[in-house]
Amino acid sequence: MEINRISSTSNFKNLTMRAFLFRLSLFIVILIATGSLLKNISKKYVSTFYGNDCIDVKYIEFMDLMENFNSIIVGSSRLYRNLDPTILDTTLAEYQLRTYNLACPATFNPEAYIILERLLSEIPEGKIKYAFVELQELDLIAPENIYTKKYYWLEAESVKYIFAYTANSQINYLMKGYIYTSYAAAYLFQQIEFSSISKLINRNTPDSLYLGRHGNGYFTIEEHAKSLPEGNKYQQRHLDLLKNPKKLAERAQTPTPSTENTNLQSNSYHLQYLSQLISIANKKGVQVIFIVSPKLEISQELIDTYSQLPMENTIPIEKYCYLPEYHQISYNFDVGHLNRDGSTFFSSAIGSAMKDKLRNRTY
Amino acid sequence: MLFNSLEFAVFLPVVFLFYWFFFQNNLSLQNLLLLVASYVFYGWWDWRFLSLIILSSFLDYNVGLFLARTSNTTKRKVLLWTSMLFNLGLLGVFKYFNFFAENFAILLTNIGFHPDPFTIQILLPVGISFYTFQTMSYTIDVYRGKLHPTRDIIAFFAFVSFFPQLVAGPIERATNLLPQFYKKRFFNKARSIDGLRQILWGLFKKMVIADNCSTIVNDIFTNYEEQNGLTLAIGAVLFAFQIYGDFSGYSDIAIGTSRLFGFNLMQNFAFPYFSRDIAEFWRRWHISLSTWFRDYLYIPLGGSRGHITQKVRNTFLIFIVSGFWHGANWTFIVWGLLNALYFIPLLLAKRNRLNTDVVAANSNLPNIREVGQVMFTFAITCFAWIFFRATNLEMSVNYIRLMFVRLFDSTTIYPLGLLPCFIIILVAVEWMQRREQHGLDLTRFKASRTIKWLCYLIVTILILTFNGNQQDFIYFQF
Repeated sequence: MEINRISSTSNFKNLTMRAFLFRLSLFIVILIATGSLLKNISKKYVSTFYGNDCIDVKYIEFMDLMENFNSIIVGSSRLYRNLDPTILDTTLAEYQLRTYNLACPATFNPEAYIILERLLSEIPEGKIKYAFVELQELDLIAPENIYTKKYYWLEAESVKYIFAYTANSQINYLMKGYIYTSYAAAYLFQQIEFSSISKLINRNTPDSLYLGRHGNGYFTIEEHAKSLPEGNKYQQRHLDLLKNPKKLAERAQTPTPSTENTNLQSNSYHLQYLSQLISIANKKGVQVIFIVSPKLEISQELIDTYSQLPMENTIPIEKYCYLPEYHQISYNFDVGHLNRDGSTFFSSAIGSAMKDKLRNRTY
Repeated sequence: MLFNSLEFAVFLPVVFLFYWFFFQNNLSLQNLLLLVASYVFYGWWDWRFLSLIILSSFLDYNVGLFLARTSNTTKRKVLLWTSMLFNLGLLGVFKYFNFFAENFAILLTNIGFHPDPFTIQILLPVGISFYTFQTMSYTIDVYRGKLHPTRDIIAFFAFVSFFPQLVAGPIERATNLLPQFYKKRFFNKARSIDGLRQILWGLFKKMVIADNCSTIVNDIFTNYEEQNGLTLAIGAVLFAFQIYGDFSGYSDIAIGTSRLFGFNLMQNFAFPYFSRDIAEFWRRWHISLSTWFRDYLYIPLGGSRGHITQKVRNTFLIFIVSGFWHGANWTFIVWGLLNALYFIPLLLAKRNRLNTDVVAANSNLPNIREVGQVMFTFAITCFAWIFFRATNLEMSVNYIRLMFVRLFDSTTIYPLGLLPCFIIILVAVEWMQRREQHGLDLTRFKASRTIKWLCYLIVTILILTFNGNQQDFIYFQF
């Protein structure tokens, strides 16, 4: 044991091992420093949303066509595919809404909020009347995504947001530990994630397929599936649902969080952040309307947070989210997304709920 | 787990630190650590795969011991054949069963019967073609008396499952690798630094060259009927670089990683695309497999001795078996056959050992003749790769037909982006390093440390910036 103890320290005292480890560490430090420098320079010359190909192209289109719109939708694919601006505008025709769907796949909390903040900073006051924003739980990082351009938005401010959000969340400690670790790792990896440099050199134009075919950013999942080669991932997901329709029945049986929960589990930091977002939006004449999209699992924390938002910034959730029709297979494309018919139903429900709200407004 | 993954980036330093800091003075514990690490590495794909490798290791370990205990020729042959049949049986079931079942059904259909082919839905264990050949080399060498069987079960199991080379080679000979498990390993800074350089170069070839080529190659081959001849030709060339980048990249990472732990693996690729003829190509491409077939199949069959028909037969056999080793598809067999047809004229003309040194050995640039030879060898290799890449024979034939028929249809080519620049970098670096063990072998490079570090930094930034969409290593499917 004594020999082993001496020998296990001797390797560290061994000059060649120390020199090797020192050189390796020095190289890594130089790499990170050089990489950060190159990355920060390249970010000045590429679009803000270089890591999200969908937002990259839609944001540009929206800014070019801003004159044609006075309302926007921001969120993930659950709004990108499910909320039809045409139906929304038709339902709310008396309010002369012209809505652009700026939602994109995999655009979660807080990226969606960051996009909205950026937009608010760039639009003239009074240009946009309404911003329909998807209220979401914090995105959990899948391990395979830790070192990807998906987290291009991860800077010191957003890391602070994530840590504070998590600290105030009701989730268990294991999950909190995972969030802290994964986001810290993702932030570190972003220092050597050079897709901004690649984008600068390649000068690829973003894929305009994301813009959809309706001129308003809306793109149903059926249309997307048809525009790709046979056997694409969307078709696969659709077939998976057809083979296992019971997943919808499971969803129907999942108890929905109560909107009248007296033992409130809201996330106070999230609430505070959203209040600031509302305030920023108000200064630009934009009324933010938060939406909870129907999906497999909605946490009580999210609903409680939603319940505590000002009335003028929400729509009663029972009117559009907790409807049994969402569990019908005739309204679903895959487990996570409605099909065209389901989208029509959802959009009409939101539109009607919004119309009631605007007609009966007491604020 | 893949070499170019986050999991491996965490796995490797952890194993390295335990290996050199906690178990450095205890060889058995070091070997045990390597064994456990190797099983974790392999089981990361699918833990069920472990049962086969453990079974194969256990059987061959015992076969080795029994071979040592008996001098009876018949008994020794039975033991050897037990090992061979078991290992080949594993391959037969997991890799070739459906191929034979389907082709047998086609044969029966052609003679008037209409059976339903019985096929099995079975997952092909990653690396099975590699470790079965590695363990067979052990039993064969013990049988031949070239190697004493080991009694150290941990060392043997670690030799079979050694994680750097487990899933895609090099296929190590027991005579080379196994003794390294008996000897105390000492940390060597120069070897470790060169190991890291080799890993870096391997990652460049895999992530920048192979993964970027694969996106374009997949599109061209999937939609080949819509492409013009020039694009199809480019598709074949890019596949040549893809498979080279992928496979030699993996080998470089495997060899470099082994050197971090004090092991020396054999060189598996010696800049094969600079070969002046097909015989030289096959001395430089997948060296571990071609030498395995040479030593355990070709030479026992008589090799290139004997009558001309025997030589031709043996050559055809080796190349066809080599093709079949790559996969259960007629395209691989035709690929092997084509290479045999390339090789045989050289063999018959006794020109197969003409070019044994490196091209332009005494100059910086090749002469015109060498350029012609290298280009011709590369062209015929690319032609054969079409069969390797195509999903079936019909597709290969159509691809080739369209490539020639539409060659002058249009000069519009598929947009390649920065890929040509990366390929130029690869070719330039490997040309300059053609006398060395690998592309970033700067051991003899007379330059300051600053220049060397600048090279490492540039290569690393290229990898981090221009890595293509992560793809599985091609040879994992074998």
